[in-house]
Amino acid sequence: MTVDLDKFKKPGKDYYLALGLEGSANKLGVGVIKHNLGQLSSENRAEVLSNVRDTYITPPGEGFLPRDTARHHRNWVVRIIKKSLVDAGIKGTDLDCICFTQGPGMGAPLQSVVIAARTLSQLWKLPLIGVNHCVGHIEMGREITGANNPVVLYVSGGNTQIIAYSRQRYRIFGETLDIAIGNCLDRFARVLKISNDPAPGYNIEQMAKKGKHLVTLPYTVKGMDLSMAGILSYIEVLAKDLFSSNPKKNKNLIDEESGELITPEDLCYSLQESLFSMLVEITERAMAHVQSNQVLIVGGVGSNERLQEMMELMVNERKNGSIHATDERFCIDNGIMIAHAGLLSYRMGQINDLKDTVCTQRFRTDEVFVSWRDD
Amino acid sequence: MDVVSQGAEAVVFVTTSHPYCSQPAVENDKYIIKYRPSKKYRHPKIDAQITKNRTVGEVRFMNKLEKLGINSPSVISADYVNGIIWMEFIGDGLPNGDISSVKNYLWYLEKNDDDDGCVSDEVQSMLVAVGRLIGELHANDMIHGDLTSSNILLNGKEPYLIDFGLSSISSLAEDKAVDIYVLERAIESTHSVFADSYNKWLLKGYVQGNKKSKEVLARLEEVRLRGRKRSMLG
Amino acid sequence: MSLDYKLKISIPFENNNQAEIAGNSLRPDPILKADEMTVDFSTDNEKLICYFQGVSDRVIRVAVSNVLDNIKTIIECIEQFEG
Repeated sequence: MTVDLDKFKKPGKDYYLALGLEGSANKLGVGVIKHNLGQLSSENRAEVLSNVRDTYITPPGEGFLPRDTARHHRNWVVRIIKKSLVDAGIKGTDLDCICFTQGPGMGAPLQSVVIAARTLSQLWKLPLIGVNHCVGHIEMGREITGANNPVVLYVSGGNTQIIAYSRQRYRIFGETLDIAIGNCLDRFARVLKISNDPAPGYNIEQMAKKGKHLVTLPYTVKGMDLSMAGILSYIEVLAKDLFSSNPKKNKNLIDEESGELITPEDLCYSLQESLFSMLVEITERAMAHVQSNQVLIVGGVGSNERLQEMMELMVNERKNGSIHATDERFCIDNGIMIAHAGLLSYRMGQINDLKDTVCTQRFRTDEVFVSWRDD
Repeated sequence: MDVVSQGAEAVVFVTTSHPYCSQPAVENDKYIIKYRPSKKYRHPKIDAQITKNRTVGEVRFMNKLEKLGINSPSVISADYVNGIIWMEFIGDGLPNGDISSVKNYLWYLEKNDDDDGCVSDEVQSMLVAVGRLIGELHANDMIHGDLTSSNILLNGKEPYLIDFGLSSISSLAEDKAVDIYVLERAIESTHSVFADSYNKWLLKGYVQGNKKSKEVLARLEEVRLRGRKRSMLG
Repeated sequence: MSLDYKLKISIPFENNNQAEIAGNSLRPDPILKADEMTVDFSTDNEKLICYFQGVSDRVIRVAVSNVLDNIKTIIECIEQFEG
């Protein structure tokens, strides 16, 4: 049995167009997606008509604050929407609906974007659809990779979750017990004053490639959950000692085998190896638990090639295992995923009245009723 | 030697040969071999450390459980460096051939029985017994570290704990509360339809098994709240 | 606490429809610190009337600043995308 996605089709039109607006963190993204009538499949793919993004980048050593991020989004949102429509070659009135990120995320940036969504919806007389950011990542990942029912590792600045679908919800099997992976990497980058351009995680990844010595770090896995706060405070101390006048005082900063002084590159390498081992381990535990052999990695940290490589090594050891990941266009926060997931909601008749378009910082993945799937 | 399951960190085999009796000690007797293969994705240094620590930890934990008489398989022999544990065979098959873990049993009921069957008195007393077992574990300051419905086997009606690779010893209410929280969440995601009843019964049993459960349950409330608060930034 | 401090701002748009759109876009979001402050949006022909009441000048100032930021986005949208 499959759900009917065309109950609300417009007479004489054999496709749908949706605009998606995303601004839950420091990326502002706008995209236009096209679905043709009927079930999405390998023969009937969603079509990305445009996918524009602008990132608010802060100086090294600084994180992005809600107020400043909201200001960035306000300054750019109309220009980015305009570019997205031009790239797609459509007018606003050609659209079927306007989708926006309703949460989770930072309150002020979310609010700065929904204001534009509400105004456009009235100007063009189109319905609004509030989208859960995490569900946006999952649906876009499924669509791009063709993974139909994977265990999802969602890793980003604010989230670290292991998710699997069951009975019309994306259920959280494992997650961080304290801080998110991206947050952990960002905070480490700030101590080392690593550049935030294009992203701190990206620069850590490049430095890690030059790392040679592995420093042993705490390793904290609790079933399908993990904890990263302990690792962060441990490595922060190491990083601070590294910049002190006499780094050799800390014996953990000397490699046991070679006697060489540990470098910032070694720390990046060690942090990645330890954190990613934990992520791969809990993903494998979830796969064993739900008896699945597909993995889909989504979220900004998911574009890390070392993480993808480790995941692939794990999956290859499992029977019929397969791994799916998207590139930075879709992994990193973007508007197209909001358009895509929102359009699925729209096609099932789930739309928001103006009064129900308030954004929320907390919005759990499993709160969303996934009406467009019934497998 | 047949593979019974491929878990996250170990492959489990069933065998009829005993490590140091040339003949099966008892006719038709079966044993379990749990093998932690090296993981290619991990740095060799991290890998060697984890394999050894977990194998050693698991064996010590199981020996202690046996001494205390808490239901779990007993260890026959172990090779720490290579990550191998030889142990007693526990469990029986479900009608569909699956291993009789609590997870498979509940899934079997969900597929083959009606709603009443999924929350029958029999299921209730089974889950209360599981809760009691976990209570006894915690009463002895032992933390499982990976409580899920997959890691509890049914031998007839008796629940047995397995898989102690992430176990630890702790008297802290926090550690015990997180142990229960991990189980609660696993039940919610794996058996979502009846999760509320299942978790209620587990806790009912837990209180029976652990005389000092009050502090743990108060802490559990805090841990749950933390979980909801954490959710979360985008 | 009584809301003794009051401020009324009138913002002219090109027509009543635009003023209505602005009001509708602003209205859904709840006011932070609802016990210290209220904001009411209404229209008078082509004008959007924002009526602030608060326990101090300070809470009103913060709210006005937020509302004006949002109105800038709304006006920019209308300018670029109307018709």
